[in-house]
Amino acid sequence: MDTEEYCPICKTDKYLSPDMKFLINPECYHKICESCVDRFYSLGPSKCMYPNCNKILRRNKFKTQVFDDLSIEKECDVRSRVMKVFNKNEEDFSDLKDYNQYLEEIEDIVNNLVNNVDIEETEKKLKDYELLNQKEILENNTKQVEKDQIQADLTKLETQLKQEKRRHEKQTAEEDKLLKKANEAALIDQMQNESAQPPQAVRMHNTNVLRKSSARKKHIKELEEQINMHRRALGAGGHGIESSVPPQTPFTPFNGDKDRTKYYQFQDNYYDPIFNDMVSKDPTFTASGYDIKKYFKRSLAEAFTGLNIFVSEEIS
Amino acid sequence: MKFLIDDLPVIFPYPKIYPEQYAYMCDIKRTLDIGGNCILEMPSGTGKTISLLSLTVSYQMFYPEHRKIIYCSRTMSEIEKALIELTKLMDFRTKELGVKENFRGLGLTSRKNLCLHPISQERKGIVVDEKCRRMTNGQLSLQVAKGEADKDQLCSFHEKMNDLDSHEYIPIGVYSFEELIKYCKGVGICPYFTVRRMMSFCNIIIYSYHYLLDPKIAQRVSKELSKESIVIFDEAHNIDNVCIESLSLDLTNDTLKKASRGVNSLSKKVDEIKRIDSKKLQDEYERLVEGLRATESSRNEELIMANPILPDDILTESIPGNIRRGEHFVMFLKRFIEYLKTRMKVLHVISETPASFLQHLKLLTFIERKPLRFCAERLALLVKTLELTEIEEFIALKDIATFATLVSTYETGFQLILEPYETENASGPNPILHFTCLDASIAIKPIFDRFSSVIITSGTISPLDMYPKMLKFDTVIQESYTMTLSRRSFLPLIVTKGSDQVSISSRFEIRNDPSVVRNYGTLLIEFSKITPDGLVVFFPSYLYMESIISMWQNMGILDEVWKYKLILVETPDSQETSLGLETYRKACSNGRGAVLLSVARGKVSEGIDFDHHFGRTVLMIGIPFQYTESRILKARLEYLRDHHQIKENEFLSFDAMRHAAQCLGRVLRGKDDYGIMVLADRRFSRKRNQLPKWIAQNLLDADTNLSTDMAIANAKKFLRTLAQPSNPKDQEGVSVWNAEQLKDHQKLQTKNVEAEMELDYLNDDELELAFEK
Repeated sequence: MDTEEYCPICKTDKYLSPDMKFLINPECYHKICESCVDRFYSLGPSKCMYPNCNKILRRNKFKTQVFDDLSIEKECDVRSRVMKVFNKNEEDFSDLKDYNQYLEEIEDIVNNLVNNVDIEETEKKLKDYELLNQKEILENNTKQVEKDQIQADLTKLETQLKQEKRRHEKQTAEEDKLLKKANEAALIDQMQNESAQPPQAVRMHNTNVLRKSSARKKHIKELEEQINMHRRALGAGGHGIESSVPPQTPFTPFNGDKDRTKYYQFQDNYYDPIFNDMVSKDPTFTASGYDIKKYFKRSLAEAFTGLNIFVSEEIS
Repeated sequence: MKFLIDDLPVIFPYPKIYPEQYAYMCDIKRTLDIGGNCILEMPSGTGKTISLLSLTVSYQMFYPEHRKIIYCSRTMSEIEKALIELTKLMDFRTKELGVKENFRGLGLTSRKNLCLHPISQERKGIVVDEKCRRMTNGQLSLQVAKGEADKDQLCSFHEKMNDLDSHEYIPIGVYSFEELIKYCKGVGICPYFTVRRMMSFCNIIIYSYHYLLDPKIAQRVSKELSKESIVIFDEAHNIDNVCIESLSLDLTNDTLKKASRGVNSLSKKVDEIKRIDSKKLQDEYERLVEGLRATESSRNEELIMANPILPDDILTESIPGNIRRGEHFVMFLKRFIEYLKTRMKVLHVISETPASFLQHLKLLTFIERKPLRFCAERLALLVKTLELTEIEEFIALKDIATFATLVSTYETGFQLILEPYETENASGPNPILHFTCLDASIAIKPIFDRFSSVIITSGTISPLDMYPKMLKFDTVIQESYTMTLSRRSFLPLIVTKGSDQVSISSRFEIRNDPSVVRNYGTLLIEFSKITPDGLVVFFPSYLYMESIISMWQNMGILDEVWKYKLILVETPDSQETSLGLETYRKACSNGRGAVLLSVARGKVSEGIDFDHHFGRTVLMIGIPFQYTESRILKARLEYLRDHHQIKENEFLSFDAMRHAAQCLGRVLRGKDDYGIMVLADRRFSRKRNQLPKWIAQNLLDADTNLSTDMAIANAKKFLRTLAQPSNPKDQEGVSVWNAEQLKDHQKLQTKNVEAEMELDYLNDDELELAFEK
């Protein structure tokens, strides 16, 4: 029997109670069984039960151990903390060298924290960095979440496509079989009746099968397209350093259909003999939110767009 | 015999040539001229090796390019045979030409087979390899030079080589392994390293195809081969499996334990070096920062074959920052191994893609994909920097690093399968993590990319179009040759039912049905009665063979066979089997006669010939399908279906039939040989067209659906006919040509071609006339 297979606090043996689970706390990484955790920490934070360990533990921090090696467990915890702060990606760097330097820096910090070297200094470094780059960190976090989402979608779509393809294949095989049978039957019929035309039913069946299989093919194609789109989205994020190409606008027939040329100069005052007076005199217009300037703007736009007339050019 | 193919004079060491040999040579020459790949199926026993060698050697010597020949075969004995054929050929050439040509031909095999040092007494090849590496590495000899280590630790044979220049280790000529060892013993140098270092001076190299396909070995052994070389894969019907095996990896708890031990000692070493000689690590570190690795190892793309493990972009990019420092890398490895250990604890089967594996890995340990890709490279560098000599400690670690690199490099074509239990009803878990390659084309791609002509050939490689599909390459010529025979010298039969008209099959549902087993038994009894001398029986698997033998024992069938023949059984143990084979040969030679019960995928079916009286009948009991419940096979089938458009059943049946054909080919090893081939399974009658052309051609329609008694009657008649004395003169001109007959054939051929061309010409004229009208 393994000597570590019992709880050092209540001495429960794994051999006698095989359902027993051990928990650890990232404060000190001492192993305690689940029932002991319930007993000691349900009433609030308390000291670690191990002799000479004076760490204060909280119940919600207890977790099951992932790795056998506690030092690795600790390292991963430290890493998760550091990575939350140092979460830049390769594409955030213009130079590979800088990125590598950055990676090494992270590694140094983790190393120090794990091996208890210059803890205070490193902690300070971590905090400083966090304060300095708060905004970026947040941004990167959201970016990461987005990326993960895309990745998850992609895997989902891919499995879907696989299943769809499989089904399609199966159905085609089945239909082929049926078709063959129908054709054979038709042939026999034909030989019996000596009519030159294959019977209507078979032809109908053929077209039906064709229609069905083309519909399925279309569906599969759509799925493939979706996957490609996701891939592209991922890929655009993946190769940051090289892809300094401007983002491409979606395709429009007139190279982007927003016409940004100004056709006219809008002035503060226009004089319209009818409207100006009416609006200024009758409060019912303005009460409902009518703005005379809007009216002028619209009139001008109506007058110039479509004719492609540029006033300044016309004058000169 | 000397003759011309187009403008190329070919020297053939025999006075007569088979028509199919001539056709074979013509096709090879055409392939070499055009520059491309070809697949050729040449019946076994028609002198495939000698035709290949004599044509390629003539080609090499005649044209000024002097393209180097790389001849790869499967087993040690086949390599040896090829070397002996080559020696004969070169002797003949010397006689014919009157001068000894400047020609060097060497074969390479493992250290264990070539070693002269007492360490070769070790039983395991790996141990010999490791001991040899330790005794021959440069570090140790440096230490010896400084006086730090004892000279006895070095291999004297290897040290002696330093006194000689690398091109004068061995004089020109062709050496079989025996001669090589003898010569080297005389001079006192190491045969293995002689061949390795002479490789660039050789006109022809003959070795196992692992040296070319396995990226771990190929990188070291075969990287200096020039681009124009002619690559020949002989006995290549299993080449896709070799490709897959060379990139697959199995990890067990034991490997992981050893690996973590390796990491621990590595980290100790790093600490030690840091204390004593921190400059070394710092140097390495600085080099990596500067990205000078490329210049150091001077990877010239022209010169060196691409390595599928390490794609090109890795070689040009510098190592990522988080594993640049030695101690960081050790931490990184520790984390990775610990993660794998955690994965091994799972108690249900998991099958996942590398992508999902990486995702989970990142989630738990924050290991990114990029540093993982550099793992193998980085480990090698670190070991070199630390000047570690006890490399065997790091074998497991190396495996892990290779695994890391592979898993992060390829997204498709690989699958991770974790099997917690060895067998279905095992009590305790013994997890194995299979990292399997599903795509055979990955490993062989660099070879097709690098070499202009690759010739793939075997006795049984039908259906031919399967291979280009699986290995993803284009062929210039695909050809299957038939065997020209003056008389019917082998009789293929398909037996589908027993004498009682119950159909026989090794299908899983009915394989243990007593009536089927009894029918197979009577088939064996009857054939052991009528077959002279040797009879070979093949079963689909060891498991089935064991069960059927025990049932036969209960039915008293074995006792009946015992009256006519000695019974010998193949076992998975190779030494036992070789003893059995020896006894079998003896029994066949002294007239007692024997039955060898063996397995279609075992050792006997692959490399051992049953020529003449050693095999007069081969009995194939059941179709040798693979174990279809295997998860690895399932994954591969799925991959083939999705990516190569090969259906599951198509592949399974192809694979079974190539093994069946391989077994059948064992008994016919030449034109004067004869034998009966019995395929005993109902399902064979539908798979007839998947047999190699030369067998299918000889299989009459009437013989495809026989019962046991009919088969016996046919076989008796066949044996009686062949017992008549034959006149060797009958063969001449039909299945054997001498020089004049060959010339006549060539004349006829050119005439035909001219006539055809004239016809085309005439047709053109007619067309023109028609237009004019």
